[in-house]
Amino acid sequence: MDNRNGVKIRIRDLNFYYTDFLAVKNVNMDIEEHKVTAPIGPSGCGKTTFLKTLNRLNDLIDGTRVEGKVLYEDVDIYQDHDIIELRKKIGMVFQKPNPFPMSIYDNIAYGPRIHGLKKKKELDEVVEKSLEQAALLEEVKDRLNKPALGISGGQQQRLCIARVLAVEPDVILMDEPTSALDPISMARIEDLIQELKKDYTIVIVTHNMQQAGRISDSTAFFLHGEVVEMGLTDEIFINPKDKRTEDYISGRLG
Amino acid sequence: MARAREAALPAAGTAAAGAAAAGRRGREVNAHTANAVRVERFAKTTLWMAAGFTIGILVIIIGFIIFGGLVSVSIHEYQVIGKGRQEVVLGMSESERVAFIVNPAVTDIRENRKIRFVNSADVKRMFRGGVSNWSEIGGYDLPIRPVQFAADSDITRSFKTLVFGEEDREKPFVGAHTVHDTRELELYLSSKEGTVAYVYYTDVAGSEDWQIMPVMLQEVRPNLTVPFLLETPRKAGRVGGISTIIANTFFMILLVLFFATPIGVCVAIFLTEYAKQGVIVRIIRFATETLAGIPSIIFGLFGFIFFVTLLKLNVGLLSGTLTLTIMVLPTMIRTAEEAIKAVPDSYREGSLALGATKWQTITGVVVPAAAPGILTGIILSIGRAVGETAAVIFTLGSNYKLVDSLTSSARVLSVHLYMLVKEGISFERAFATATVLMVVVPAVNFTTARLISRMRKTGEQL
Repeated sequence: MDNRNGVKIRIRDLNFYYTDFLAVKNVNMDIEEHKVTAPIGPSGCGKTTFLKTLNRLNDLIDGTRVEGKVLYEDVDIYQDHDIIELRKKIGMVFQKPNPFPMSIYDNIAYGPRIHGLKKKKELDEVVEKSLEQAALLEEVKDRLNKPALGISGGQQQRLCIARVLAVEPDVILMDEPTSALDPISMARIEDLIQELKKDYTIVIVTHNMQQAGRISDSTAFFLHGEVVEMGLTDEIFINPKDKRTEDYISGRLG
Repeated sequence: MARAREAALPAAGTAAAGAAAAGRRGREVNAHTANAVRVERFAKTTLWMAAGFTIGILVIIIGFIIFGGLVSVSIHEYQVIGKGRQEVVLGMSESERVAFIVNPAVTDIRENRKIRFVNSADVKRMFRGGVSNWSEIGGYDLPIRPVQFAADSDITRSFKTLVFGEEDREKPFVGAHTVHDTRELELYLSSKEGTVAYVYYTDVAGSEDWQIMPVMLQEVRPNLTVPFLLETPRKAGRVGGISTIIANTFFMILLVLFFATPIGVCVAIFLTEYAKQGVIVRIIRFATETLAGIPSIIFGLFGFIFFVTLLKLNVGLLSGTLTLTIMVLPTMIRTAEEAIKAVPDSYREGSLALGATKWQTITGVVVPAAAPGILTGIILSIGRAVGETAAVIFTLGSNYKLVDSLTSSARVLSVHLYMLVKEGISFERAFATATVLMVVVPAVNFTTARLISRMRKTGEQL
């Protein structure tokens, strides 16, 4: 269905447990496609945990339990969805850039390769396209075979974005992607996100309120694992309905 | 003014008392610090001595082996006659043995001096005019009169080969009186005091009239030479080089790595990525630690009983390398495990987030990232395997020819050294083998270390 502003991910009554500790409580949310949704909140409020439930990366940790539903394209990802396919469709960029200790080319080709793409020409195309989409191609096109760890932090993060783009996802999850970067790199990535949302759906966790204000369309304010308030960014920032939201936004909380 | 001074006095008094007290305290503190400083200096000296001692031992061992390996110093006594002691020069038949004879007056005791033997260097000089009186080489005043046979005669040639070796065989003797046969020699020798001559031993043996003087030949020959490395050994290493032995050692290393690396890496992967911390892991760790401590001769015994006898693999390449594999496995596992553990989790997360399976992540990112560490494990294993004698001697064998099948016996460097010494074949060759051993292992370490640091540099450039 070609629904321009349809809902990509529906989260219904999501409760997430680290063994006995309830980290995410009763979250109900709709993630709209081709929009930037920003979970915000103070440290430890559960927003990163929440993010990782969306691509089942929390499965890696022992003793975690999920109650409720996360419906991606109307399929519950915790019941019927193949994890590998899921993670292809819902990609993730991490707080600290984590390029693999290989060449730039191999980093980007890594995803396509494990999903079966072997032909060099096809791989070349994918690498080039991804780097261009991540606004990195110009800077590294002459050193694709050099180690990825040899480029700057900002470039590495864009490389990680390109790496995710190479597997052709629908949704890109970002966990505080600019918190380890300098202001200029941060600005570049923020611009990039605005470009990317035309083709992808973006969920970006950030503790930088100004960033959320700048780039997101919807904001969800998390506190102690719960969504206190969620709505269009402009409304939340200008006219918060909950006092706690207002306190956080004006700097009194967190 | 005076009042001010008066007022100042008690202040001065207390100040003085204060100063005295401070001085006392200062002295106590000083004494304490002085003592601490002395202890520090003593400790420093001791530490330096310990370090120096270690370096000294290393230098001595290495120097000893390498010197013995590179150079063989041998002292041959030629033609010692009397009471049956004789030295046969390798390769020379009995009839070619040359005796160095002198006029009886030479060996008299006069002026409290007696010449019992001469050095080959002196003999050389006698015939080349470098020394003309016995007093110059430790005897009493008596001129040296060299006597020669014809320059192209066999005896002269033999004599020249023996004493002069390769150098200047064509140069004629200087100042020597020529005789043409033994008769003439006999007459001349007995008539002139201080005469020296050379003659076939068979002409002299048993005769009372001829005085044979032993010649000490000191030879400093290069021992470990490139030909030695490239030549094949013959007669169990008595003759020839050690080329096949080096090749055998090389094959042994390859096979051990072929077996030990996959097993070691797999166990390491299992321990770090798959096993739940609990009983299984503890059992495996206990097994690894214990295996690491077992004396190598026991591995040899086990290898012999299990691989050679029970599995009927014969004493050969397969048995030996399997035994060595078991021996180096703990090291391999330990280093591989450390290397894999050191790979940051962020790599694993990044890979999984792209839709990779756990195994794809391990083979695609984790193990390549752990490669430098695994390579370290490989170096350590090579070092241990090459140095092994006890575990190897019952299982790998002692056939010095190039190994030709997995079940054929193969002698390696360490065993070769052992056999050369134990069977008294040749100390010089043993030293040469030792030098090769001592050079091979550090050489492998060095190249691999360079490789590792290069891998590290491209992997961790930030």
